[in-house]
Amino acid sequence: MNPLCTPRDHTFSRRAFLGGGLGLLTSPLFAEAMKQRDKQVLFVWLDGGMSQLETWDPKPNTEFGGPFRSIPTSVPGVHFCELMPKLAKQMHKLCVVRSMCTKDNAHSSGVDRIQRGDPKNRGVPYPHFGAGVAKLLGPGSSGLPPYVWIKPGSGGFRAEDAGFLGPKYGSLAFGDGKPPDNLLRHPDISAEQDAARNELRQMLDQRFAKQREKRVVEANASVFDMADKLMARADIFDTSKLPERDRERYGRHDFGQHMLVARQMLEAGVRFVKVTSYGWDTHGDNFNAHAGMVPKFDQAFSAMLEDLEASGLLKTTLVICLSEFGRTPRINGHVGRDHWPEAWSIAMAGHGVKHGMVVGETNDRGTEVKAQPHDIGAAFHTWYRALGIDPMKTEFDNAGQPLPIAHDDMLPIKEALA
Amino acid sequence: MHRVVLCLLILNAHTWAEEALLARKIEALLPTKAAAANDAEFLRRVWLDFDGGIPTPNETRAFLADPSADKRTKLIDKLIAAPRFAVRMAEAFNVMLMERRGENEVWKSWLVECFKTNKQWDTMVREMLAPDFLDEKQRGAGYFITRRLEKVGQQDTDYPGLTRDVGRMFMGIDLQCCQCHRHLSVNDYKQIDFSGLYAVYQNLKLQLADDKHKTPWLSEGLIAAKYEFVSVLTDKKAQTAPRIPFGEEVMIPAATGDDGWLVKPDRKTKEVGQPKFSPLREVAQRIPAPENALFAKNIANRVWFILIGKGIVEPLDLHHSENPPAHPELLELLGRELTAHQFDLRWLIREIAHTQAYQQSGAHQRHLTAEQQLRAFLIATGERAHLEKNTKPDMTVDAFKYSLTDFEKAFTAALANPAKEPELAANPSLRSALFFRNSDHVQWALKLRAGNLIDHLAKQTDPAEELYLTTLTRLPTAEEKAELQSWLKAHATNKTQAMADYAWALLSSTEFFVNH
Amino acid sequence: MKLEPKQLTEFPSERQITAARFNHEGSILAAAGYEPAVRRWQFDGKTLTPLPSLSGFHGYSTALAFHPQQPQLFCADSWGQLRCCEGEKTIWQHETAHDGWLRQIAVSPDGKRIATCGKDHFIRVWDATSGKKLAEHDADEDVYALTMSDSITFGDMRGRIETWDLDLKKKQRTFDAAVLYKLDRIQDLGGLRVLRFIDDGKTLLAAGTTPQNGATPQSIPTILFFDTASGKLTKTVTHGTNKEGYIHDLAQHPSGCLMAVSSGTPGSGMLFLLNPADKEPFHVNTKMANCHSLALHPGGKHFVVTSTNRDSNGNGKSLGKDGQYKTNTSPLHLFEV
Repeated sequence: MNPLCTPRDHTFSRRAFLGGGLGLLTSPLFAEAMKQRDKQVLFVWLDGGMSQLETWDPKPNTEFGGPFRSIPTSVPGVHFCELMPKLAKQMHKLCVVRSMCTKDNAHSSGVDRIQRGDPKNRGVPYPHFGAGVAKLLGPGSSGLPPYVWIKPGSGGFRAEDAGFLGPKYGSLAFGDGKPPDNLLRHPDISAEQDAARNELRQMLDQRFAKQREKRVVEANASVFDMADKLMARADIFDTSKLPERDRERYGRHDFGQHMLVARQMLEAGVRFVKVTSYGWDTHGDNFNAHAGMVPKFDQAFSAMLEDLEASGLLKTTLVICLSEFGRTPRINGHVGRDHWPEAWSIAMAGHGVKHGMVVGETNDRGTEVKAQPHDIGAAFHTWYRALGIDPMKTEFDNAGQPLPIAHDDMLPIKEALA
Repeated sequence: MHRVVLCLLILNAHTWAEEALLARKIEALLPTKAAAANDAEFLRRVWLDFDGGIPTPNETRAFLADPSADKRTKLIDKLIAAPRFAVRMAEAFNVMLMERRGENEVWKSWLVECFKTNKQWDTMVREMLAPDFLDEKQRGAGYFITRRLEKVGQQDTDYPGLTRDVGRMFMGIDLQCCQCHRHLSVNDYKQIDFSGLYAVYQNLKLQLADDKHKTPWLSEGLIAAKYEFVSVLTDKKAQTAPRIPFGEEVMIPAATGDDGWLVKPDRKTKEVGQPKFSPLREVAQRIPAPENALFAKNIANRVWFILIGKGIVEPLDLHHSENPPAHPELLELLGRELTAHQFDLRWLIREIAHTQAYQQSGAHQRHLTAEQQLRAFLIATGERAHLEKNTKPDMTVDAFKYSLTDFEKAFTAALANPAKEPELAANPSLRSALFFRNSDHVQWALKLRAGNLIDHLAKQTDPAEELYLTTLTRLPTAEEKAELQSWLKAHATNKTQAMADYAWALLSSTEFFVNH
Repeated sequence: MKLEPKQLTEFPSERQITAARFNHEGSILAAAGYEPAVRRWQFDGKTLTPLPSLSGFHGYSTALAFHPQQPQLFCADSWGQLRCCEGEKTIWQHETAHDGWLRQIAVSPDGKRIATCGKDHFIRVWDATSGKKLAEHDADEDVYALTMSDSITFGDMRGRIETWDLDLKKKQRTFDAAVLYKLDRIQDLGGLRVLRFIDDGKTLLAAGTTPQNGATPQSIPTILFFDTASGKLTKTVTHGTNKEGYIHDLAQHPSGCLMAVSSGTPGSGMLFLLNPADKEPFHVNTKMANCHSLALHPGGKHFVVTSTNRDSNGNGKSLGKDGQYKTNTSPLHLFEV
């Protein structure tokens, strides 16, 4: 059964909607958003659930703390697990929230709920964060697809990410870092021929537009234009031409190379880039698994932070790294850790968030958040705020029904906001 | 845009077939100022709607040259009588009823058979809602329910989704929001309306195909008591027997325990049992009934949408008193007459096709569905017959590397809307643009090959006329003719390629994507 | 000869145990596990009576080995400490014998030297009496297991097994156990857990699992038999389903039969006995969940298996009857042969 909306929510939403919603285009808020066109997002998703204890929130030398040591970071007093030596040196760029406490401990629903910000159920599927950003901020000046997803496995157009916003805001997935079907010019067609016949098509459309409904032609023209822009930047998913040094620095594994593609996407101006790494659901052999995987994550993620800083992009890019939950303190008989939404961590960096900051704390055994726990809705508020969008004033428009962009009972994590 | 402005031509030169009475009544209700579609526009539209493809240049020439006054009527009748009509309708209803949940041959052939034999809509719906899985001719209808009860990953069986879709598809009401409380924005929809149907469908179990049942089938449990539900807004408890929305509760017979079974379940023999009281059959009788006005209005509205491109009520699944039809008398008329004609869809389609509303120019332009685009594309490129014959593709020989199925898959992947959403409009997407721009399928069909479009054009002294008739079902203007000439001149080094490129531009243009 | 082990009793332990061993007299059982301490019990042939733990370790205690003829206990932790004790007394100690996780300790048959290996890629040889480092070798990979004969044989995460004479710094032999390794996505799955020589060193056993998938590994317990002289694989024994997971410990009974314990999906565990000449075990006990170690009593008449409590897994916050967050433990099962 659905947990539900209450009539009060609707009244509230309706009132707020009158100030925003369809009027969004003319509201001061939108003008604000327009100024923010250069803001970008890197969203790193460690699917299955990375262990907070073997990464951001170590509890060394305790019952559930695992075998690893902790190491000091570039921020005095803050320690990471020894498996992240490179990120430890970059803690001054990071904002780590150690007080995440979310609701869902199953992947099937957890992945979706976390990425959709777990809003109250309105009977419609909510957009993933990337789709929300694509909708609210648009593709930006690059003209490239606003929401790109680099992932192992298959690629393509993922409409389901967009929920009620509609397929247009779904992700364009680069499976194994490779472009979606049909992105590259057909080998039988020369560049000149391709350009010439495309120009011809445009000319035909322009003439047709004169006698017909403009709307229809424009819809067609805009997707062909975006295709054109994307094809022109086919270089951004090709890492083979990059210096060996870069490829080495990010690591010669899926995740490293995908992060490198992501860097190129950000440099090219893609609004929202999501990178997924699968296989973090370590119900068995947790310590060896993390001993192998975390250093690869450490390598690629820290290389990315270095590069974004060097290019200045970190100033305008919000970087987020998380899973659907953390992992249990308790170690099961398979030497694994299970799903743990109760007290886990997310990491952020870049635009709009504090740097060198740790928000929140878990108790000594890592079994509970001390003081104020934060649900994922609070993270969504924080992220939208960091991007200059006020979730209290901005709403989605679901075919006339105003819907909040982030959980309407929650507030941003203030300590994390710059 | 909930209100549709329906227009109609006052002065009409065409004569209607005598029996087109409904068409005349519709016209009487709809005053209009828009011009009638010209012959070429009409021709393309009618072909796309009733054949699913476009006419060949010769068919077009013949039609345009035909001086007879009743040529439109004759064409409508010819296309409706052709075998393609059933296939095209089956495609349209498949997309509408299943919303891209994947293809199923048994279901598809049931749909085709229904339209071939002009099975009445109420009969079709009864077969879908209470399928007889032992009857070879009917079992395909069961896919409507069985597909929706298939488990997806670790999620619960989607009984609420099935309940919702029965309301949406057959009564035009989306009850989703009243699953847990009264509908918050639609006063007409109550929680009992959802619960009365839900009581029926949550009682079903999906069974795997076995020796007796050749497809997945349904078993039904005993219902001995009313279904209890509680509003999460008020905490008020209520109960209902199986009931169709806005209808009377079905009386639950007193029989309990073993008395309730017609065939008792038996673990040893793996008999799942069959109850004497079947709410599934009760609902399947009550929804498609003349007394249920929404049943007729819903399908009338949906057929109107398929032909005109706009519903009289929109969204198609939100009939209620605060969302009145754009033209209440029209919907009333269509519902009433359809009921009087025993839910004869072919009759209704033919009547609507005969109205001036259908035959007017331009107003309801829309993108072609994936199926229409594929058929139109293959007819235009002259590759349809070739692909149909090539059932066993051979990757090593370029000419034989694709089958029709390959093309169906590619076009659906590139052009169809995502699953489980009403396909109200086939919108162009980055995906479809990239497909036309770069895919091998499109490229392959435009290669010079004996008997195809490029081959055919190479043999023409005036290729412009042939090209425009083939792709856009109209003659080129003088300007367009000149353009093609200068294009060919500019690319004289490779004339075949130049022609293919020009054809590509026309086939990728908006004019090709939309019905006229 | 076919042994029939019979469980006598079960003793509780407050923590999870990953390695347990008897001293040469069979009077003391020591165990390492998920705590910075080594637990000890007095054994009188019938009962295990707790003795004070050895404290002062860090992270988790990971490995231990008794001197074959003397009372010394060599033990190590996951932060790299290596210690030699007699009773509770520390004889010598290196705080960072390895940089981090010290995985295994092996003692030479004469008891004069011990060898250690770790996640830091190193194999180190120590004088058992003084603790002086005698030799070291950088294996360039996480070293999961090792054993000592006249020389040192070690195996790494990738299933590379090598025998070295570390005094001469010379590789003597290579064994290919690459089937015990798999890369799944970005996870390296090292399946090797135990190396043991049998038949007076003529046969080398490499036990663990043949990895199939990462994250939540599901795979079948595996023992590879190598001919020591030629380095060739002579036999592969697998037993159980892919629920059974890893062989975590393996011993050879004085009668010659092999005794192995396994742990896989929470709840599943096996003790199985196998004649080295056979392909199938002659005795399988699946009553214990997730067995991590097997301590064979020197007389061969007893052995202890450490398992894990049932219901050791679960998503979210499982609370015990006391309302506290649940902890897992390792029951000690005393068997008689």
